[in-house]
Amino acid sequence: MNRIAHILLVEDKRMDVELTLDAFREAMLANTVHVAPNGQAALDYLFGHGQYADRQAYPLPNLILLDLKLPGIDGFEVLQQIKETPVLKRLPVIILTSSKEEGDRALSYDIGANSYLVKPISFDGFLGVIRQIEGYWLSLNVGPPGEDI
Amino acid sequence: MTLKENAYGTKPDATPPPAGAAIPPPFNDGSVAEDTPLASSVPQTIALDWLAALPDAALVMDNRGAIVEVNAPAAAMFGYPRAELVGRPVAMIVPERLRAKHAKHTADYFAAPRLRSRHAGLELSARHKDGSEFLVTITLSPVPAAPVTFALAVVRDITAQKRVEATLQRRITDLSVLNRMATIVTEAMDEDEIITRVMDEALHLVGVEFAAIRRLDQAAGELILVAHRGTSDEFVRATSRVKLGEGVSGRVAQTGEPIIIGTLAEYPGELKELLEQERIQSIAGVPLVGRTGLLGVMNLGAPNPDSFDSAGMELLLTLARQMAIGIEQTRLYAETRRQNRHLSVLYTVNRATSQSLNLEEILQSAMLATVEALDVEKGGIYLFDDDGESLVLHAHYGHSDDIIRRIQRLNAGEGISGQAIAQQQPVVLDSAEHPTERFAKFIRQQVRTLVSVPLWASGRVVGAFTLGTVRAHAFPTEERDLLTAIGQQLGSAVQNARLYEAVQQELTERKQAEKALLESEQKFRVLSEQSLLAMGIIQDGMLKYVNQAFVDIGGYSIDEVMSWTPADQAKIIHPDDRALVMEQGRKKQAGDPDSVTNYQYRTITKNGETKWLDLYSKTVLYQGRTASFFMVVDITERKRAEELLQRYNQRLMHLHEIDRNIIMAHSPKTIADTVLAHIRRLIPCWRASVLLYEPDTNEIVILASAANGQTAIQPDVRFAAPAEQMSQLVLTERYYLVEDIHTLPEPIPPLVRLAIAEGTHSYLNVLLVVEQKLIGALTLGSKTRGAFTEEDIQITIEVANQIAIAIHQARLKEAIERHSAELEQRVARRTAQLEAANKELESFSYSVSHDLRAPLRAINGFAAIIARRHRPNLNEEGRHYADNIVLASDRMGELIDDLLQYSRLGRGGARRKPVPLREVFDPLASDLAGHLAEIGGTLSLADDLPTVMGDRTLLGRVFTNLLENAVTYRQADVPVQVTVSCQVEGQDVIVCVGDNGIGIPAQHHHKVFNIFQRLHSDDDYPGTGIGLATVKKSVELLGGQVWIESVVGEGSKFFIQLPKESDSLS
Repeated sequence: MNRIAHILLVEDKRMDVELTLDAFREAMLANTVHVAPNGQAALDYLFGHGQYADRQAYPLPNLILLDLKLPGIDGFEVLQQIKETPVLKRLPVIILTSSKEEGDRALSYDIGANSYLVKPISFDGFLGVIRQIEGYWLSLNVGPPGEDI
Repeated sequence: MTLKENAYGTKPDATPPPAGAAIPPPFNDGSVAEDTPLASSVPQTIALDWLAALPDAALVMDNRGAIVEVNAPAAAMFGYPRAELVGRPVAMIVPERLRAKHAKHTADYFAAPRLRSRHAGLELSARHKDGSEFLVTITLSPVPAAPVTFALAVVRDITAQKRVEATLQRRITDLSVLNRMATIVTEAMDEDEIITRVMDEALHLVGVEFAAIRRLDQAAGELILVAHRGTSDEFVRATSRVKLGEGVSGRVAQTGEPIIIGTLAEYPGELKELLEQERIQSIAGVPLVGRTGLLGVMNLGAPNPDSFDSAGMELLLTLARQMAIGIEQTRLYAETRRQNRHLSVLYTVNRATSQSLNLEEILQSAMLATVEALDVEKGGIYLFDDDGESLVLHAHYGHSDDIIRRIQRLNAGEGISGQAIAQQQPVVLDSAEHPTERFAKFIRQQVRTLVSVPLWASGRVVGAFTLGTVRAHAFPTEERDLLTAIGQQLGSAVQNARLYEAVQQELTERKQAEKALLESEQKFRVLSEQSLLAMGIIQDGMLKYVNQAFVDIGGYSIDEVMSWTPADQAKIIHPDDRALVMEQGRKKQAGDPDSVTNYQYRTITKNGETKWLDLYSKTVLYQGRTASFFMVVDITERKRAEELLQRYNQRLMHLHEIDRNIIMAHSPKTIADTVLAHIRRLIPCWRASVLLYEPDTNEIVILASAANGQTAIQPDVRFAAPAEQMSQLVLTERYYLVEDIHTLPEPIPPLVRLAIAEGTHSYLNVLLVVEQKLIGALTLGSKTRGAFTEEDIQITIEVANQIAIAIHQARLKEAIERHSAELEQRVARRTAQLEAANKELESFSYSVSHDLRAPLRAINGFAAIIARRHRPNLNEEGRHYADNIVLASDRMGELIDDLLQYSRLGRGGARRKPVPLREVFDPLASDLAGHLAEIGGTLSLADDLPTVMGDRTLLGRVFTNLLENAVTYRQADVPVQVTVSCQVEGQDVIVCVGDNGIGIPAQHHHKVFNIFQRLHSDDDYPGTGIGLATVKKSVELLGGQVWIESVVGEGSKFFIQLPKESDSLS
């Protein structure tokens, strides 16, 4: 059994947060999901600023689930900052969005997204996506060096 | 939402709406009696003031097609008072030819009312009370008012918009044509080429098939067909020559005005039947007018009546003007070349004749030089025999010995040479015109044209020079001037040689008989004294003998001349030529005493005139010792003629150069600068300026000026125009010449005052006039009094004409460019508007994609959680409703996805490249295989699926939808069988997707492709109603068509027609 993985969920819509957390619960995944409700919070978390200064309580995540449409600093900017910062750039970032737009997809991969997932409308579908993320990114996928496996 | 319930009956317990058939068909025959009002109840829900508040024309109609209410803009648009519209059938505002179609649309609309907008692309026309039609767009929206539904129609008149678009398009075409024309006229140097290219341009531009260009032959009073397109040989023969005043061309040429014949009934000439045969119904004739006047006529013909409108004619006139200018330019160019050739021929002949004093030698070399210079194959020179009547062949070229024997002697008046001598002018014979016995022999030797010119000497004919060539029409009228000049030159040479021979003979005889010296010297004196040829003998630097003719040249007496020392003799030689004459004298002493020396020099006469002399000299024995015998010919006239010719040639070159510059010039200023540079090389003047007259301010402004020194007449200087003086000038003279402006009486015009100040005396002012309007002047100033000759004035007028036209054209060009820039701006603005609208649409669909899905996901998610995790806490009803929420939000998710896909269709433009259908179907078949296995169905694909032109993504979408439909609408108890087959028809491929499903009733076939159109409830067959709309839109984007054949209970066949892979691309 793996050690408990830390996931940073960057999502501003309260209901989507609840659904995601519920889906993780429903999928019975023993991971810790940290929630950043906007782009600034996500960056503060990753850089250990302000309320997220305590790395014990807020460790660097093993995986980031990033929504694109965020108030203020949007998902693209967060992604760019992560990929431009040496200590963060290897963190796997999964875009989790409602948008199927070609432009959004192209830009995300251009900046360096590791995966791009569209949130299905149906809860069962969504549950499936969460299970797949766990199965692939947290179990099957071998992370970058520097992580304890 | 009322709309949706009514249309689809999705609400389970709602009463189904009446089927289309339940609505009474409004007007079965499509015809409407306008004066029969239909009873109709005005629905309470429609408030009149609400309709009145709409800025656009709007009307409400009921489901029987009767007008229920109209607002004021609508009444105005259709031309009826409101009372005449309300209660009447809506068909009265529809053009009669469209009424049947319209009635059907109305019925269809009320069968499934929803928001619908239609565009002009579908040919929507409305009818005004006065019977006229106009293009409209119509937006229909349903207005439910139980028990019936009404429809609100918002109508927009788009006639003006269409007209603006058409005008815009036309102007852009016009501009590009004018650009091409300028290129043609600048590049082509050949008259025929210009005519053909401009003619083709005109045909292309006006979009007609027939054209004829006729050149004016002023002398014959006829128009001669020089180029044509589209007409039969018979027509070409019948119209190869047209008299002035006859037919369209003749009339255009006579009046100089364009003519439009709208239908054959208006045709004025006698060729009506022939034109009918040619299927020409309408004709446009435009004059080709250049600087020198009318050059010809261009006619265009079209198979349909009234094919030429005023805008088209304007453009044709511009083309005609360009053609005329091009023709004139090439003619000027040809004229310049011809002049050059004349000069070079004359020079060659002159050189040939001055090489020798031996008659036969002179004749032979003149013969060779002429034959070569004129590029002919045969020649002969005849001189009078001693009898002074019969002719003897002295030199010949290109004839066989046999012929030479036959033509060795000619009797008086015999042959072409005899004719030329008798008529004392050149005679040209064409083989076709003069088949005489003697001439027949030449024909056998393939001589097509013969020319003979008399040889002139001292005003008498001494012989004839005859040339022959295989070319037909080889000696046009303008060549004959050259031949005459050669005849004169050769005649003088013959005379000189003969005189020399006579003198020579005398001298030789004297040498042989010393005894008879005195006697023979006297003979020589008698002979020489009678001679018109100036001659003399010089020995040891002193003149020993001169004749009267010699001293007459200089105006001295014989005694005076005989006493001159060598220094005195030098005084009568032009200073520039003294060295040459001395050098020749030295050479003579050193060289071969028998050779003839010949050179030309200038002498100065007693009264100071300069004359050109041609001198021949030879060493002779005189009184026992060597002396130099010389003859001189006064060639001053010839030299002057040559100089005149040179000057004329130079003038043509400059005019031609100006012409070329004008065509390429961009602004009036650059044109003026170029012209001034050239005119100052042509006419000796101190200053030259171009002035422009500005009628708005009644001012004159100096456009350009060039001077050899300081002057106040500088560009941009302006002053008031002396109005009355200018109008007088226009009325009387084209130019204004003052020999000395310092002697002019007051009032002196401001410009002349400036000219006086700069020191000008001679003053020439030529007006620039275009289309009878004064636009300015070309003015020259010289510091010498009376400096300008007739020729100078003539040249200045010619140049002024050129400038006037050029400035006029440059101004037109500037105006066109301004206009073009304006148009471009408008196009850019429209494009920007379109782009903005597009952006808006994109951001709309983006937010639909993003923002609509988020809450929907929440609804679905939480409902699913309740339905699942909290199921035990819910009663039966609660569970049912929670399930309903999940189902409904699933459906809405699909709907959003399908709708987005539909709205994005073709956004990036459909790429059309070869796509093998096999590659489209194979992945679809494997996607579907699982589902088919589950339900026990089969899919069979034809083996020979061809390659079509299309877009892989769009094609995939089309066939996914069709295959899914086939599987969805299957019969409950029959295993589904889907068949894909193909058929190639000409350039098209027709793909058929057939099934054995439930089928579609025939009355619904036409609407299955409408968006949101559903024929079944969601519970029976789930779907969004977008699939087939997507199919139709995709196929249309690919340039194809889709249709359906279906029988209820047997199955459906969907046919997709697509363009076949084209060979040119493979």
